[in-house]
Amino acid sequence: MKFIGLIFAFLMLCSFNLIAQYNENYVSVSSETIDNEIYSVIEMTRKDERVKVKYFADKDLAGRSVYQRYLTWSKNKSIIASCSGTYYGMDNKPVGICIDEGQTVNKAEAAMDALVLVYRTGGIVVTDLKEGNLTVQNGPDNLSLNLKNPLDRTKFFLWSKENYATVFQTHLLYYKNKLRVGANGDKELRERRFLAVARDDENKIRYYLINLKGNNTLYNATVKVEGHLKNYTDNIIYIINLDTGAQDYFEVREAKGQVMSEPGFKGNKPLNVSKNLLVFYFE
Amino acid sequence: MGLLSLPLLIWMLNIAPDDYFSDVKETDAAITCNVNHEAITSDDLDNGLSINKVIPTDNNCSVLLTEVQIKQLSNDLVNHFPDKKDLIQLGLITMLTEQTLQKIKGNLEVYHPDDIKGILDWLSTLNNAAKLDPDNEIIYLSVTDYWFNYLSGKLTEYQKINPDIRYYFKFRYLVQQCNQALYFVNVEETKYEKFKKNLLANHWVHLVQASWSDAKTWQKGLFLLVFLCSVFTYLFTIISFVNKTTLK
Repeated sequence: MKFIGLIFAFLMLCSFNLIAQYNENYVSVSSETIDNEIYSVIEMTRKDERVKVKYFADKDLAGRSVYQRYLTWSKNKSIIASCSGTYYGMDNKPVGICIDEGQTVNKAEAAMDALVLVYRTGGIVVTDLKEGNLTVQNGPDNLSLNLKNPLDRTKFFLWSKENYATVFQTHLLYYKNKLRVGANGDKELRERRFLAVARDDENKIRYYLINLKGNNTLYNATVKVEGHLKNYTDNIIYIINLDTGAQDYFEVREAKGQVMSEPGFKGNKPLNVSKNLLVFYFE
Repeated sequence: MGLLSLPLLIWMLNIAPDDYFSDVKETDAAITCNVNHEAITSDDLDNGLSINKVIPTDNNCSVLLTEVQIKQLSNDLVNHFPDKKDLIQLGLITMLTEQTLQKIKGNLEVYHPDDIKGILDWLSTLNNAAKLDPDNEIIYLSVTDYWFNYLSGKLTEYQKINPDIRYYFKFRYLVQQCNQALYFVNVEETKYEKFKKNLLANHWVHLVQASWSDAKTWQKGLFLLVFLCSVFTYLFTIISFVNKTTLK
């Protein structure tokens, strides 16, 4: 009897890894080599709001690093993909406006147009700071703010504190059918990673996490990725840049939970070097 | 030789001589004048409060209004125009931010650390006032936020134009003030500067980790090869030395 029990326990342990972490109807992972360059795409639909986003901007108030926070948080989560978010400066602080669950990390605005808002509900919204028409949910109402206006900026920081909002700034590469990065942008040749958001035929939001393995300037990579995404969607809303510099962490999981080992789905740095982290998970 | 080595070390490590802020006020420093709230009409509030109507322009008056002046101005205007509280608030914020900046922008075009410190000191008093004067809290918060954001951006600009100032005490002090208020100045460092900083701070573990993490596979391979060659050379030298001594 004991022997049968042991076998049962062993089988349970083995099958644990085979239980799907996420539903493949909501997430698809593909990789393609074009002109000796690997294009890796993770396509996720927000249909039924099962795919969610979480951002770890900085250490928490208890001083736990992003790495420690992620390990604790992710214990009971079905992770789809995780990667470094925005750039960080000399003080190990994110560059540009940054708020972590209502806790202000950096209030200094950087010369980057994308302000990314990650809601507690798992949704992600990007606004163009140049347009100055940020709309946020404030209880049952919407609050319209122009962050170039001093009073509206203060209202925004007060709102983010009350609503435990998570916010970060990065480069807006493509917005409203227009490329927003010029050929004179970052000329460094390196691996590039982007987050694109589009609307599908059912008017539902789709997230695309794209990793371009070859060495490209920011401009070249944006042009290539924008072209490549046409195979997936005709309705890109925006493309933003994700850091592949000093904290080039990127990890993708298969539906059953195993970490993908193909080169297009891996960053060059380990998780513990990540100063901030963008995580896509399934609930 | 000894006399030459110190300047050489300063030049090599880019250590700037100390340049402390002086407590002595300059004789031509701007003075605090009485604010003129009586001249302000209802139309002025509708069209936007003008700094020129509030502060006399001819008497070397400071455009950085003190917390007492702001409180007095705000309360008097609210008493005169009780139904225009929102307009007064907006007008005062615009006056103390964008309009004040226009007045002193010329001084901030090039790096003048003493002028920036003057503004930071002003912000510090307004920050305290925000806690003590809840009626005007949003005004103080908006004004301090605007200026800290502006100055942190300017400090980033200055060090891009003249990277040497990053090593000066005054610059580091100003950066620290902004950082403490959570307006991080994006001070850029080259790889060489990062290496130098960690070397001076004896962060050996970090140096090894960072070098190893940044190294390419062939560089790691080359390092291991050189390392192993060195170990074997030492080993053989020691063995042959021991053998020779034993034979004797």
